[in-house]
Amino acid sequence: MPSSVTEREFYLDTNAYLRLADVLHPLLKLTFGQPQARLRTIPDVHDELKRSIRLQTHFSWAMDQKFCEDRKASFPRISGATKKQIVSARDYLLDEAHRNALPVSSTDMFVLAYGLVLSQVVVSDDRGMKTVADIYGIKMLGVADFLALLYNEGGITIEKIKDVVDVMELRHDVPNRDYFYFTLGELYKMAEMKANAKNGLDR
Amino acid sequence: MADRNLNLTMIKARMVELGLSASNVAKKLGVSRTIVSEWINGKKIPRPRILFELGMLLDLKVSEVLLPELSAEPIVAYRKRSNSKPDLTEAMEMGKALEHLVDYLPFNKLQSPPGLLDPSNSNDYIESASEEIRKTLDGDGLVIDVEALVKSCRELKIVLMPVLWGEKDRKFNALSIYLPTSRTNWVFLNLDVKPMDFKFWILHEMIHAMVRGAFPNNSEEEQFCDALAGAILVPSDYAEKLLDQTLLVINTDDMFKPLLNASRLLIVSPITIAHRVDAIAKSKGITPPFGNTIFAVCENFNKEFGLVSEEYFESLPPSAEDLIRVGEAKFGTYAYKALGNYLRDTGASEGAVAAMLGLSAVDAKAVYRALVGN
Repeated sequence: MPSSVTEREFYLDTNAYLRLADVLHPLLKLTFGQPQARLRTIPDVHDELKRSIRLQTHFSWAMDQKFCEDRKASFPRISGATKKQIVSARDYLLDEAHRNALPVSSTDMFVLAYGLVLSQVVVSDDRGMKTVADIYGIKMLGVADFLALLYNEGGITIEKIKDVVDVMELRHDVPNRDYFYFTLGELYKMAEMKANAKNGLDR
Repeated sequence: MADRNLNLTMIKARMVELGLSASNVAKKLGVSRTIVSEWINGKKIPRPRILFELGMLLDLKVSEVLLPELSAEPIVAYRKRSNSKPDLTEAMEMGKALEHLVDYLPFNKLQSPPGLLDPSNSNDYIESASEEIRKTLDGDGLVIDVEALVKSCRELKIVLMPVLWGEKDRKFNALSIYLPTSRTNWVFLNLDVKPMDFKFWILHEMIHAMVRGAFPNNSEEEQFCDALAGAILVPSDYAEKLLDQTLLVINTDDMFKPLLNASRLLIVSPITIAHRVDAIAKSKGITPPFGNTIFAVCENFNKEFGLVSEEYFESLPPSAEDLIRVGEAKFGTYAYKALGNYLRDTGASEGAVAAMLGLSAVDAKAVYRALVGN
C-alpha cells in the first residue's frame, strides 16, 4: 500500500535505485536520522524497470518479486490535485531541459517533479538532472553524497558502504562524476579508513 | 539558449478569472509588486522556479504560460501494434533529444537527398514510380532484400535505428521522427516483430523521406507511401499472375495457398500482397478475391515465423555491444558512433541515452557503457 508523504524524504531515480537496492535490500524500508527520513521511488521508475530489460545487463534482479514489492510500498500517497501538479511540473522541467540543450528522459523529470512539488530531496547521478535541479532550486544528492549522509545519520554501516562501492565497481557502474560534493573514490577511502580504524590498523 | 516570451494574453485572462491583482500575485509568490508589473508589461520574464510557481498559481501548463518556440516541432509517424493507443509524448521528446546528435552525423550538409517529382496517388504514377525505384533497389530480381533498402536509406540520409522494444511491451512496431530544423529522418525499427512487415515499414519510411511536404495533407501522403511501398514489394505483373492462379483454384480451402506461398517467397505480408491482387482484380472489373478474409488467415500464418531479432542475434537478449554491432553492420547506423562522440564531448550521462533512444534506464545504461565505457 503506498504511504503518505512524511517530513523528510529522498526520491531515488532509476539509476540511483539500481546502484543501491540489491546490496541494501530492503532499501526502501530503511528509515534514518532525526527527524526521521525515508526513501522512495515513484510509479514511473517502477514502470520503467518493468518495461522489458531487452539487453543483457546486471540488473535482472530488479524485477524479482521482493524488489517489486519493496518499490510499490514506497510510492508516495498523494492526492489527485498533487498528482496533476507533478505532471505539470514534469512538463516545466522538460521545457527547461530543452532550453538548456539537455537530453533528459521523461521518467527522470518525473522524479525531479516529485522533488519540486513535494519539496523533497532527489538522489541521482545524472548530469542533466543535476543542471535542471540547480536551475529550479531542487535539492539533489549524488549516490556517493547520499551514502555519506546516510552514514552520518546512522542509516548505514561503513561495511555496507564498502559493499555498495565494491558491487558498483564489479558491475562497472561507478558514478564517476566530478560535479557532486563527494566522489565515490573519496567515499571509498573514508570507508576504508574507518574500517581500518575499527580493526585497529590505522593507529 | 533563447529567452521565451510569456503568453501575456493567457496570464492576464487567468488573473481576471481568478480575481487576482498584480499585488495578490506578488504576495503569493513572494516577489515585489514591481517585478510582477514588469512581467505583465512584457519587460521581463520570471526565473524558471518562479515561472513554475506562477503557472501553479494560475493553473497554467508550461505550454500555456509561455508562447510557443519558433523552432519547428518534430514530426512523428508510427506503425503501431494492433489495438494499442500510442502516446506520442515520448516520441516527441525523443525527437527533441535527437537534435543534439545531428551535428555528429556524417551527412553532407550542403546536399539535399533525392526526392520524387510531383508525386500523386494516381495508379499510373504509383506503378511508374515503383518500377523506377525497383531498378535502383535490386536490378531485375523479384525479391527485394533488406540490405538493398538499407543502402537506399543511406542515400536518402535516413538514420535507421534497429531497436529491441519487445514483442508485446511497446506500442510501436516502427517509429519515424522527422526533425524539420535539421531536415533529418530517424527511423526506429523494432526487431522484436515478425519478418513479414519489416521491409514494408522500411520502404514506407523511405518514401516519406522522398516526398515529405509534397502532398496537401498527411493522410494523402500516408496513402501514397502505403500504395507505393506495396507496389515496389509486389510488382504488378507478379500480382496479376497471382490473381490468375487464385482464380483457377476451385476448392475454396485452397484459395489462399498461392498467396501464402508468394508471401513466403517475397517475405512480404500476405495482407500487402492481397491488397495488390485485389486492386488489380478491381481494375479489371473482377470481384476482389481476398477482401477482409485475409486478416484472419494472416494471423495464423504469422505464427509460422520467428521474430526478426532472432535472425540477427545468436542469443536473446543480446548485449548492448551486439546491438550496436548489428546496427552498424546490417543497418548502416551511424547514430551510435554519433552518440558515443556526443557523450564523450559533453559528458552527458545515461539519461541522455535513454532520452534519445527511447530506452529504459537499464538498457540505456548498457548502451552507455558499450559506447563510452565507465
